Amino acid sequence: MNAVTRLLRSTGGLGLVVLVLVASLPLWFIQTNFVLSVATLTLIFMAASLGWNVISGFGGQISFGHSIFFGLGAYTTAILQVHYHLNAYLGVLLGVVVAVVLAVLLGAVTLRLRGIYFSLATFALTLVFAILTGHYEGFTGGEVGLTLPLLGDAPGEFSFENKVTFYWIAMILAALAFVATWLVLRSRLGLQLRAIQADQEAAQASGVLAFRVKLTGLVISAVPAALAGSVYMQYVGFIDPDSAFGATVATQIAVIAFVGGAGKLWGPVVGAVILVPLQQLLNSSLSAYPAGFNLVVYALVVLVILWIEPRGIMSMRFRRRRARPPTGAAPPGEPDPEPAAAVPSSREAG
Amino acid sequence: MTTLVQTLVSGILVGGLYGLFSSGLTLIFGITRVINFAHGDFVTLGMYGAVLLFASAGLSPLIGIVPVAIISFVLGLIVYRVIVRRTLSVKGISAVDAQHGQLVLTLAVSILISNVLLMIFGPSPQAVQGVLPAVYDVFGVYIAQARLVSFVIALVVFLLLYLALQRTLYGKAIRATVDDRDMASMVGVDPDKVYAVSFSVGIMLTGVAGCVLATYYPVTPTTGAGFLIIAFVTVVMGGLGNVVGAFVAGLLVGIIQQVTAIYVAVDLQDVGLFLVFVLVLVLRPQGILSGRRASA
Amino acid sequence: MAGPLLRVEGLTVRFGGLVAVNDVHFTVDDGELLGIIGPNGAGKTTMFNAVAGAVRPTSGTIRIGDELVSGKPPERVARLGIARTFQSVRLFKAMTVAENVTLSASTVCPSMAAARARADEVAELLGMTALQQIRVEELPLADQKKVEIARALALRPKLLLLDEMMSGLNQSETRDIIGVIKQLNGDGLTTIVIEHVLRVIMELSHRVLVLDHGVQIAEGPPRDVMRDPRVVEAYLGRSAAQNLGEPA
Repeated sequence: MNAVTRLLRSTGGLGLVVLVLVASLPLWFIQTNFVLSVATLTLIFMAASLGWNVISGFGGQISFGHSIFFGLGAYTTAILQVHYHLNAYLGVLLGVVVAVVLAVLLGAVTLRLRGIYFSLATFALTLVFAILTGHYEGFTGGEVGLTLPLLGDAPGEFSFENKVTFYWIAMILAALAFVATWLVLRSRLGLQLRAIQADQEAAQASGVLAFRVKLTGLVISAVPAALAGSVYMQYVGFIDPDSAFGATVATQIAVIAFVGGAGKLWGPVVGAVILVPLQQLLNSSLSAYPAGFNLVVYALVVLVILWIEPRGIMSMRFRRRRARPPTGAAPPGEPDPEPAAAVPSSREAG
Repeated sequence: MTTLVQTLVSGILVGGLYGLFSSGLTLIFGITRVINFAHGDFVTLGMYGAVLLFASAGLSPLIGIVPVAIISFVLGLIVYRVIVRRTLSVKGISAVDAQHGQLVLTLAVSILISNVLLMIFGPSPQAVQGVLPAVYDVFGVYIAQARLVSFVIALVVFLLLYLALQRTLYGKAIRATVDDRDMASMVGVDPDKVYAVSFSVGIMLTGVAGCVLATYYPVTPTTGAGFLIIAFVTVVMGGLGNVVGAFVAGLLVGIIQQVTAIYVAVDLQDVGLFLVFVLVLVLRPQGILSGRRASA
Repeated sequence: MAGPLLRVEGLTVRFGGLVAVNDVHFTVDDGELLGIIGPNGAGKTTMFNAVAGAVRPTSGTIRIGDELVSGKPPERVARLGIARTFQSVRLFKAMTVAENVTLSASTVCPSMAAARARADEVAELLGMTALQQIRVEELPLADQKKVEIARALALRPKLLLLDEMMSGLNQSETRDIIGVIKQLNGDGLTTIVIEHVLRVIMELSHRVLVLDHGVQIAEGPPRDVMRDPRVVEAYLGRSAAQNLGEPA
């Protein structure tokens, strides 16, 4: 309970408001399946992006390959269910295991790279996954993709007639991912990741085991992404190489966080709430807009937001700038809830 | 044996164009430190430029180079002035935050370009047909005229760039900035101008590469995504910021791609490339064609 | 403890064709304050980096106590008890003072609570408790340098390496930092100081090591070293050394 109070305090009560709002959403919109579907997808991508935030936002190792974990979650679940008739929940669990193993293997290679080289390597690797899943079609369904069998209402198999259930599941997933990143941020790991982002040599000179810390960060950050992929699979019922590992998903996860504010606790939440609905609402398959229109608007919104503040929405000041407190007081922005150190300053955690 | 020679020749011919648009990317990175995620889409724009000029005015892409180059230069200037420069002018922003901002902004530009093209031209492939249709048979190795001419143009344009960098005042300013930006600004090089010129020239080279590529390669709005990653691979192999390295690496990338396509599987041609890329990154991050040791 | 705290033997660092540090031998006793001086480019910082693990020696060994340090990565060296500051301040600028110090404490303390307590302790020792919640980038340079010291101290080092602490500071700030260094050394902390302000070295050091072009040209008590003709020559050139009436 103590931790919950602290979470609410350190997020300025915003957490409580958001929680109530989000939890009650289906009660207002329960009739319209479209809104429900948009909200569910928002929460799923929010979770993936929250995961991304751990290694890339806090740790500064910008990954354009989190789609690898998202896709592995989705494909593992699907393959086990379609080919081996394994229980869906077990499939979700194994999806996480596979993603974690891959995170260790890929991290061991790529985390030795600095800055942009890491980003480019992860980007290339996710495209490798996309091509390989397309090529080895016996297993993965190739370019056509995999479709889950229709099971109707089978709660034991992660299949629900009532789509509100998926909404709740996605919400729990996003909430867990949020709490997890919050816990990371105020932990030793979070502090050390932020130090690595700021200056890896200086962090090492302070005794930070940089490689191990980054690898731990990558593994933790792969888990929400993999879970998001599994839940996406169960919800949508279909996956193909491009919607699992493709450049669009790869960059989407990162862009959500960047628009909200990479490295800020609330960044991925804000980013997902803005970008995912935008993309879905204007989607041509569901409306009269021409193909491409939704992404044109999407791109323009991203451009405008980052043009105004390249560090994302959570870094914007909104003209509420208070007079800078005299020396010795809390840093500007928001009151520091825990004076005793490792709570991140407003700039980092917003 | 003939197959091997054929494969190598095909690889080199397409590699010349890779080299040209990659030298544009590396020029941009070397000077401005911007990772241009929209780079592939400027190739696409060049290709659509060629298609449009051919379809509407009957203009051959070989002549279309001129208007495409001018338009690309202007577009590059706009992207630099309006978007990239913005991130540098935000108060209190760190260099890393600015670079990440540019990364996402150019990514948004990429999404914007490809989807505007999708709205205008639709998803089906378009091509410039019937220009340079001949195929030469050289001792059993087939060489398409379009590929050969494109390669020659790429080579000539690249040599012009190289001469410009070596001989002109701007070229010298640009090279000075690559070597040591602080020193360059101390001797009176205006960094903002150098940034703007090199960004625009980089985009111009890319547009030109796209324009000639259209003579034998069909274009769709999403073609650029593939070129983007090819350009990244090429630039890293050549050593980030190394223009000559990028061009040579372009040839190498073309060859790797063709060899994988012929000897492994066509749809895996990029896997070989990407795996070589990751290997290069891990083993020799300074690039395989760069003599310099990676600085700490 | 038997023998010296730090023992450097035959240390050589080569960058390509350039020999930055050439066959340097020295020891530092427990509780001692060693000053290292030399003209620009003498290899002082490279030698520091080698001791701190940031640069891998081409040959030679570095030991702290019985533990071999050379060849280990910087984070291991830090955990073995060699803490350093950087010549150009390299703090985590967007973090608070407390966070900066807690970070390094967190690498040696069993829990975050212990790390925070350690940070408070260090801050109090350096008289910086009032600055704890201020972001480092908002502090003046002199205070930032103190945070660098605090961050190093949080590691509970056996040996403290201070690289050009006085550069960019004015007279009174310099006095302030000198006071801090003396206090820490007085409390028993073994320290190596690199400095090109000779006055500071003279005042602080028990013993001085002089480097020139990577070669160790003199070693001994500050007064003696300053009179050594090779040192005068390295600093002022051959003619000055001859003018002082000493054979070169």
